[in-house]
Amino acid sequence: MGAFEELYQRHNRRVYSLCLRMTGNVSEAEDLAQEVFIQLFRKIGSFRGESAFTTWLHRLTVNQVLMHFRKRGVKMEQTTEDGETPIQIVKGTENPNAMPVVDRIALDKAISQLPPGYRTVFTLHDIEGHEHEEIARMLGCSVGTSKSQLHKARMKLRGLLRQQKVKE
Amino acid sequence: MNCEKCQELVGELVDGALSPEDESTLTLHLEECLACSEVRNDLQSIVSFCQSHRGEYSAPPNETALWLRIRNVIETEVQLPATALPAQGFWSRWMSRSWELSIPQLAASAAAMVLIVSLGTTVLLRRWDNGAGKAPVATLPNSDAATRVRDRMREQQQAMDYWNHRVEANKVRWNQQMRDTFDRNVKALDETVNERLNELNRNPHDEFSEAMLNAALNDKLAMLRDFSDL
Repeated sequence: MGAFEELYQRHNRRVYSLCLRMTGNVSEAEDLAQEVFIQLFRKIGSFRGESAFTTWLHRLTVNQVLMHFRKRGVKMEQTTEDGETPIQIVKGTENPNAMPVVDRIALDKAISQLPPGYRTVFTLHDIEGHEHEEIARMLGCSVGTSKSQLHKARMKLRGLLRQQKVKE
Repeated sequence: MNCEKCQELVGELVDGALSPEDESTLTLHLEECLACSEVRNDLQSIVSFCQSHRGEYSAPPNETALWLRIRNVIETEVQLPATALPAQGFWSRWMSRSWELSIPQLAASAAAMVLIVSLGTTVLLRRWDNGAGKAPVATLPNSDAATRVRDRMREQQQAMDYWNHRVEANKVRWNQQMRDTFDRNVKALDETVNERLNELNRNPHDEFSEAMLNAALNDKLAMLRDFSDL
């Protein structure tokens, strides 16, 4: 148990942060981080060292969160469905307020307001640094969908960050 | 290039994923269009911020508490493989659920548990007295039955000592109402255990008492586990 506690101490923040960014909810993130470490304990024997341990743990965490989304019936936004909110094209005079300088608190707040599908792709691509091909494999969607979701997520985030500034 | 097309491609420009032709067309538009160049700058800020802060992680609100929750579940799995085996599906599902019970809910659950055990005992005892639940003639020799009970008690006692220790450590944080609820339930379950043990001392073949003893011990263990999380 001592060795496992060491693993927990070393990786709990990474796991929790990923869960938090993907769910946007502190208590859900805590429950998911707990479930990830329990799964890790059960499955650690199957880690074969073919990839870095952190990569393996990262995949385990992403899968756990995606499974949670599926159980909860969270709809991952699709680009082809009707009724999707179109991205507003910004014209020169529409919003005179410049986007505030991005900071951690503002960005985390805005990310938590994104729809789950956008949030997942944005987290995996821009925060965690995955390529679209990897994301498409993880989510079971096409590369085009991943790119499109990312674009929409970024544009939505931009709008949210601007709104935050207006409210201040 | 119009603004709509430009804003579709601007993300890929920020990622450096555009072909040279598209990039030069887009750059030309951006030089002339203030709105689109603002979008490009904003997306660039967001992406740059994320890239430069990659690898920074926030801590869970209470790292120690989270670790204790994880250890609780893991130790239950490790320490009680024998008792968990027959009901593994049920208990693993039960224990992996996230329980957020208020004190009144907890008290009601504990009371319901005691009530079910008591009712079960009463009903079965009546059936027993009426001859309806007459135990089959024991096929095991005396010594085997007694050894089985002793083994079971020893195994359960180790687990209970462990959970008791955890409960004792948490008890200081409980309010009086919670302590009373816990003590009342432990007392009721201990009484059942003692009654069944006395019965088994008198008649080691009494399979009914053995089953009741096992049920009470399981209930007590489950209760200790639940309270150790609070």
